[in-house]
Amino acid sequence: MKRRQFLNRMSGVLSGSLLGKSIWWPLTREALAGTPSNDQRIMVMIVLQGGNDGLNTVIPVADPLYYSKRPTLAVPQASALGVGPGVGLHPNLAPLMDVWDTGRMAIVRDVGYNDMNLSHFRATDIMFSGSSSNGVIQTGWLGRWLEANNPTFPAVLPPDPLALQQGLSAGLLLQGDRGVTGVVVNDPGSFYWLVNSNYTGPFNDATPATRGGGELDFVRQIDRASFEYANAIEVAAGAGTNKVPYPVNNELGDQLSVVARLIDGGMSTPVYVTSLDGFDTHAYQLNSHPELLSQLAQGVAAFVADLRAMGRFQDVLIMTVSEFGRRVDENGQDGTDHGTSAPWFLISDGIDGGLYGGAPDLGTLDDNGNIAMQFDYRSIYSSVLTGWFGTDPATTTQVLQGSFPMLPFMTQVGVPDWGGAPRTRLLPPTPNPGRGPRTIRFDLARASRARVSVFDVSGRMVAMVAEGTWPAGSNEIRWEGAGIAPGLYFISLDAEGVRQTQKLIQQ
Amino acid sequence: MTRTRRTSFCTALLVIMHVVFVAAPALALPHASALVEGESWVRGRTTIHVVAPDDPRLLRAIAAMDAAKRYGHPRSARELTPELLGRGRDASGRRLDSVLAGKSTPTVTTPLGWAPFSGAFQIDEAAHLLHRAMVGPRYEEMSGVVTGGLSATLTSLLTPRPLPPPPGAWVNEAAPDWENLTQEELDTLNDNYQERQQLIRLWWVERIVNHQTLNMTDAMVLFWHDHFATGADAVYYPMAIYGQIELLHQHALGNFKTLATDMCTDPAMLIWLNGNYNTKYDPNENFARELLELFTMGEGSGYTQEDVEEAARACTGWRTDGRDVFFVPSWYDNTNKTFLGQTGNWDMADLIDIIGQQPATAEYLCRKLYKYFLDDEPDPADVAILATTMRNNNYAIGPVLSGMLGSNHFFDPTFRGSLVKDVIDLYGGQVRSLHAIGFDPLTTTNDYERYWIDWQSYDLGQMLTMPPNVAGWPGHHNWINTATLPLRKEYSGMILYGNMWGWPLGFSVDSMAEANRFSNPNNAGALIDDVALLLLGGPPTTAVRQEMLDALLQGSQPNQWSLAMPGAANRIRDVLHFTMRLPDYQLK
Repeated sequence: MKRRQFLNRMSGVLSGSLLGKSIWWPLTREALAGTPSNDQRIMVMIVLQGGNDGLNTVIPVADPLYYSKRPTLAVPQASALGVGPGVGLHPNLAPLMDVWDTGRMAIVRDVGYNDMNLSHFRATDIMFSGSSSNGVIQTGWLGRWLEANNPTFPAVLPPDPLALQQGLSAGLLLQGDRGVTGVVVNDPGSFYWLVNSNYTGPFNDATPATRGGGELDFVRQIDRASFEYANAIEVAAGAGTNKVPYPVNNELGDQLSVVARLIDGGMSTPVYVTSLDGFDTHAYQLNSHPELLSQLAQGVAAFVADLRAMGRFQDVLIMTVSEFGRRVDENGQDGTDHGTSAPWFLISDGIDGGLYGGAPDLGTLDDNGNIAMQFDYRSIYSSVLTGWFGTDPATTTQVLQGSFPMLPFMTQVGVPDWGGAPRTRLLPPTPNPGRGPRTIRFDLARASRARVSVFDVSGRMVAMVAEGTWPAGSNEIRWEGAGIAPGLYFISLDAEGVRQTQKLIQQ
Repeated sequence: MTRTRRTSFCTALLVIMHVVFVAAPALALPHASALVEGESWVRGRTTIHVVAPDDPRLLRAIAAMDAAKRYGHPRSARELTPELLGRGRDASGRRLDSVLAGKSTPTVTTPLGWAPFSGAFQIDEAAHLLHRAMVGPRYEEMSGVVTGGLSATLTSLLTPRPLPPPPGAWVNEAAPDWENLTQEELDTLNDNYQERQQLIRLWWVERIVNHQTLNMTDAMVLFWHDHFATGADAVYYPMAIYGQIELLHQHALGNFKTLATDMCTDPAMLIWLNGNYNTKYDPNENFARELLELFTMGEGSGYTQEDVEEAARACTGWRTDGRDVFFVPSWYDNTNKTFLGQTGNWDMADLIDIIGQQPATAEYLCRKLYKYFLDDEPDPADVAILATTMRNNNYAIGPVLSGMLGSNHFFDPTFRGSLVKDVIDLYGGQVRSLHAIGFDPLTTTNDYERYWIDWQSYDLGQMLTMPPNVAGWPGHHNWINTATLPLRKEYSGMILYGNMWGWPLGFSVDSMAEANRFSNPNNAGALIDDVALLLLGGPPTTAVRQEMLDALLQGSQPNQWSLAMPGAANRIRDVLHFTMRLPDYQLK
């Protein structure tokens, strides 16, 4: 949807009181309810290629096994950025602490699938296709979803590309049953010039019913898509500008700056794919992994600042994906070998941030020394398709070739009432920082047992706030807030097998 | 040996077997447990020394590898990803990119078998064969093989040929004495190495363009380079990278088991997949895993994680300094390993033998060969027959290629234009096909001639010696996307003008001379048909052919056309350029 239509729609809700770009900040999500807004939602995927070492990214700082198994590689607790009881982020992720502190970043721990594959190629294909460990699917989950949403594609091309990819080839992710749903464009300006000075088409005559004819159809389709989209991208890239500086010598930052410009320029493309390579740290991990996390954090932080300045942060979901994590034990070359589950990050103004999942059990690893899964990765995809984009669950099930429970962090803004499940979530305590009594609000998806407790940074429980059974929906309890020394703590809700945490600062 | 009644096939086969046996003798290393300290063996430009752990040369090599890390080299197999390439293979190594967009053509659902070619071997068939078996065939070669006939052509294509001269004497240079180099010497060495890596890439293109003959060696070296994909930026030593190319050349049309066995102790491979850090005290699985997953049986073909671990033990004890190889008997796991159900004190040659006994191996290799040379969608029954041929010939490659390329199946019209050209085929092929004059990237003083190669390689996603990862280039549809297709078209045709964005290339095509090589260039229709044969590998659709004709005639009547017409040279150039920007030009 173009920007003007978007503004017109919003003006109705706000009774004509436009405050410029900062308008999106004060609005609560509830105020937008009833206004279908998912068709302008965007997902920006960041592929961390090579298998990101999750254990050094989201660090179990209170677990002595982490330190004994990684004498060289372990990040000292004092350096880690506390995000939960016994959990810290790698210090180089400091630029992301802003979105974390404002509750806009969800960290889902130990994402994987049963019987994870340890081969880069197969594992990437599995994650891009949305299959199980044994399944072989020749299309991508996003390719299938985009085609489901655009039934006339590719015979009729929408005005803007369905997906735009940088840093990777089309590959499997955007491959649909009917065609390649994404365009690969690294630089909009040169792309426009290149395409137009070499286009000799269109070629609409029938090709022979041979294998060669089929291949010619393929090349012609790419040719046509290049031509038709070069113009759309050029217009958007010309109309949009970056509002903030991006980090230099940062390939991810470069890619995200282009994405931001296109969004600002009004391109309606719902999916952008970017990537950062180099995570396959078999040797001398400390020489490269921290720097990569820096690039990730700095690039994303600039992108978020840019989106905020444009007023689009609540429309954009940023998601990191990596084909697997890495082994718990370090190897003989100061590196780590291929592992299994690892954390995924989701960032948006439109989601509920927090830590999803508990600490990995480093004492109970699989036969290969790898971490057990806590969340199936297709649950995240399901949450993205249904919770974020508002796709009806039946279509999501069809796209993912199975039904996977959603995670409770997606805002149900403006989604038509298809009977979706309410969420379980913990809201930030108020007041915070504080010294005395606090109000703690939490929602439950259904009536269930729940426990609210307070932990210090090293993971020790310092207060049990309440334990009992609460009804579905909104709940509120009060905590006296006394008896603990000043400092940083985490308040946790344990309910329905999920722990959520909010930061609590005691003055 | 496959039972066949075709005399010509048998003759060709015997010729190939004889030549293979004579031309590429393998270095028969004794079993690892029988190697004795103090021995040394020469293989190509590499010497294999059997040493004790305190041998000063070995210690120097170890210290060197550690010291070299100050430059960040060499690293273990690092995932290189030029912006344009991705991954995608299924359990049998089949690339998962082969779903056609808007597919409306029938896929080959029944196997076609491998009956020998029984049709007329005319110019269309010659064009198809040479476009697949070579890089950038020339018009006179196509008409020449029509005269010679299919059988003689296959013999020529499949005869191993000698090594071309190397890019410089430095390919024999010993590994540096890292510990005793000053900082200035280190910097100079690093600069030299980077320059030599580029020279290797230029030399490779130059040999394809200027030294390729009616022979499949160049095409097969490219195939094997993709198969045993090894990355120069991680390996770092140019003599190692060059040495591996020579190894591929030597066995390109030879025996796969020999090639694979030698590859196990190739210096570049030892660095690339950490064979260089594999001792019985701390086995490293990287090479063993990729050996099974990518180089022989294919992922998911029945080997287990335990097999990988046992194989890793069989690979222990080897080091390299970047040129020579060291085997340390006391670092070798000199005990029994159980690999694929067989127990014994296996070394790497034994692993290859056992792997060769698995049905999956020939299936995997033949499937790759089919997809590289014939079509992206092989029928399993057809692959199975090729695999049987390969096994019956103890993994000699020639008989498989001969059986494949000399068949009705290969010449079935459905496969004309069914493969996407890779990048070296696109730019190297056009220089050769069009007889470009002045192409001398190794010796030229014109930087833009070298940039034309390097920029194109990088932009279009195939930098020779720098595959995206150890699985090689995914290929086929992965070459063509909205980023690469416009660039392919942009680069194509520059050689017609000798000009790249205003800069002189230093080499160019003489369009008129090219037209003069055709069969009947004074006839506009015949000229167009020959342009199509040369650049497209066969006739295009009627509508496209008409557009090509229009590009030549530019409004004049067909009967007005002749080479003597004013401006004819420019018109020929225009139609060549037009043809090179057709979608059809991306296929062969």
